[in-house]
Amino acid sequence: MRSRTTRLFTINTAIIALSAWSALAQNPSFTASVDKNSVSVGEQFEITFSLGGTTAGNNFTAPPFTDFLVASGPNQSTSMQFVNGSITSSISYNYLLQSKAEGKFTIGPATIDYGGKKLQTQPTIIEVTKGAPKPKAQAQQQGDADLDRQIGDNLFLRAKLDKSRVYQGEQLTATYKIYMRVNISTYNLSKVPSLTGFWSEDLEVPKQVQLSAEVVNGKQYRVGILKKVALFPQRSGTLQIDPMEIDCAVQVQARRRSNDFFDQFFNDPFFGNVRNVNHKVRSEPVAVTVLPLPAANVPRGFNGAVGKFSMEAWLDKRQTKTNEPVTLKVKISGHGNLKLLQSPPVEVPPDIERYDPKISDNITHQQDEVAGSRTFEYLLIPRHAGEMKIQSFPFAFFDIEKKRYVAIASPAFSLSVEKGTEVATLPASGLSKEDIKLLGEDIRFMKSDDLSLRRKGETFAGSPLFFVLSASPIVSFVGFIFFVKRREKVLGDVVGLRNRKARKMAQRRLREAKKFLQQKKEEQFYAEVSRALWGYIGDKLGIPPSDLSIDLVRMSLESRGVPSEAVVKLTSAIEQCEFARFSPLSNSLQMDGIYHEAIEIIAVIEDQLG
Amino acid sequence: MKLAVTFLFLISCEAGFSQEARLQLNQANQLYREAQYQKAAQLYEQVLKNGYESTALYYNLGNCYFKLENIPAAVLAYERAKRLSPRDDDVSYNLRLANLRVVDKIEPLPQLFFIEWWNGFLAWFSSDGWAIFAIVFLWGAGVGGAVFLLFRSAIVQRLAFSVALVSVLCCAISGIGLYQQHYRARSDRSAIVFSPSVSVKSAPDAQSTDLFVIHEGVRVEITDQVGDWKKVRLADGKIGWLPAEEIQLI
Repeated sequence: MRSRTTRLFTINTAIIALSAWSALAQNPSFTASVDKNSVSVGEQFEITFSLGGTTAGNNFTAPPFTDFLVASGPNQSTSMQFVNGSITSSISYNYLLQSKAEGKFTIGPATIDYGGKKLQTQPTIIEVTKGAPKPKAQAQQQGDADLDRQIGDNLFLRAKLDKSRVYQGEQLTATYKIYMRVNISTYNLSKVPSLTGFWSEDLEVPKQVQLSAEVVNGKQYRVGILKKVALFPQRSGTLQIDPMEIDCAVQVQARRRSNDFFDQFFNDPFFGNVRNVNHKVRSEPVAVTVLPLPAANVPRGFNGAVGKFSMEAWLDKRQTKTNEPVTLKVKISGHGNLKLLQSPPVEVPPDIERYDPKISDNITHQQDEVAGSRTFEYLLIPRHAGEMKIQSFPFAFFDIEKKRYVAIASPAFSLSVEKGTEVATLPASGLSKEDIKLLGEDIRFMKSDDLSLRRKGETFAGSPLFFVLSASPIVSFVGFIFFVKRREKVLGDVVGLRNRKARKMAQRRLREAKKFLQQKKEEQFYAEVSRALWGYIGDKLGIPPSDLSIDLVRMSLESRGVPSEAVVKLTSAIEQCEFARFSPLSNSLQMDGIYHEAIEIIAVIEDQLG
Repeated sequence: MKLAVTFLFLISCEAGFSQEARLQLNQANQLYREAQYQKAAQLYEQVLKNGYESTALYYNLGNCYFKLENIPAAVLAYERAKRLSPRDDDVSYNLRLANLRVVDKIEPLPQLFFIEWWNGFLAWFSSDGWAIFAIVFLWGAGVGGAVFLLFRSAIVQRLAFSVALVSVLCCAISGIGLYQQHYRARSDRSAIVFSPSVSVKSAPDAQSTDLFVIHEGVRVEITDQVGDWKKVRLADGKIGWLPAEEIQLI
């Protein structure tokens, strides 16, 4: 803490002999002073509280600087004076303040204790203005106000354009010139034009400003070019070129009270009897009309190039191997908005990997015109072997002189790619984890044990043998059926045949019987029903008709598990038929009953014997 | 009798010819074991040229080409081997490895699960396998029918009838499998791309638009042909035309 205080309080000792100040020696005064009363927002100024006549003041209290920022301070300085053998001294406290806001502010009094008394400074009023600070604020430089006015006529900055109507993308040149009838010792650009809406390129101007004479409004000025910019409007419409602002130190003659001849003689800057005054000069904004490029007939490959260009394209080699790169260079040279040129749409086959072009510029400014070349270098890596074709690609620009679009095209290239020794890089995509694991594996070993061969294209399927083998079961089966039929006939398998046809026969006979029933031919009806029943039973049981008898039928039916009920019904029906045939007494009702009974019996027996 | 003699004569001739081919095959296998894949492949090709084929022959040839980094030729040989023996594990494994080396990764179109099952089922056997099945079941049906007619016993008849019915059904399925495997695979429908890269066109014309690019080793299905141009379909359903010389039929 203590060391910091000592560091802050730098003590400057100045020994100045001034007789006029001797009166102050005994009565100390405490005053506040500022270097300027009027500042702009953000500008710094100095406030000094000084105690004259003594250094014995202590307990200095600064006023609160609520409306300002303390940039540095307090800085203490002490001065000693030897006047007529006695020493007087003074102490001052110095603050560097920065204004915060616009308005009129009062800095309150500072206090200090001296010999048991409390001394106070007077309050100070500071005016903070919005715009640029007025350099004339300093009390000593009151005369500068009309000096500025005087300079105003004799020093100005102008922006000049070589064209006032241009096409979008056409180059125009803005020249910033300084006109002067006063001397300037130094200058620096305080505000560089931002030039929105343009793409700009600084043109070279000699570092040492070369002056020429020019007459404006009847006055001769010395004129120097400060800055030259090539501008390429990026959009159409009326665009404004921003003003430029410079800070220059203008040499003005120091004023003397006397009008002495000698003084006038020495008022020449040659004798260094001059003072530098800071002065700001700004140019007027200039407007330019930018015409849009014609919308009709815009050729393919046009990408905003305006000027005059030519295109060259070449491949560094025509033969390569897979994965060995080839370079395609496209050089567009000419003048115009070269730096805005975009890479031409080079289309390569999908088997060639194309990287984004490397762009190199070789731009010169010949007589204020942006010219040169831009080279696009495409790195192409063929990934697969074969004859590759690189299609011709277009490039178009708007010719300013002819005021129309010009389209040019590159040649088409062919590139023969051989299979390189490198293993083609495998695409990682589309492979599952399992697949990737498999990639590292080797194929399975050969089959060496199997030496069987067969005629190519000779398959079993479709071969004659196949057809023979597939036809044979069908033929055999058909043959078998024929064989069975024939055997049945030859061996007279009447029993089997009769069995299968028993029911059909019985039904046919019963149908016949029904006819007789309807015709009421009793005798024939009963004969037919009887025959149907006898025939059916005989066929079913395989008994020849000559051996048929009621007892035999009953026995064999019962032995085959036919219920005795059905057997009784059958025998009674047969007996009834026999009886009725020889005694024509029955009526139609009886006939009907017998008919149905016969059908029923056949159905029951058929069920049992199957 | 006369027929049988001719048949025997033919078989003996066949044996004589294949004896020489067998020697070549053996020699090629020997070369393969000595890792002289180039020479081995030439010999295998020689055997093929003489008109013989077998699963092992195609498989070994595919292995040679794989070792020689000739992936499309390897894929072609494995595919041909697979056509002869669809269920050969070694063939499937090596074909899969070879396909991994193919640049284009083509995702097959998803199919309805039962169609996939059905196709997988049909691919289970080669055409010869299905042919044998068809004949066996045909015999089964015939014998079943005969037994049904010959025997009176209800149990025997019922059994014979079931055998015949099942056999007829199986025979029908085998017939479909046979048709699928034999006639469909035979009618030059699949091919392997051989040139390093091919632009597939929208029409059978060199001036037409490029649709997409495929690379060597990709299997395509041929759906149409105009002059020297083949219309192909990829496993992912993409369709286009390419010159016939760029591909080789399986």
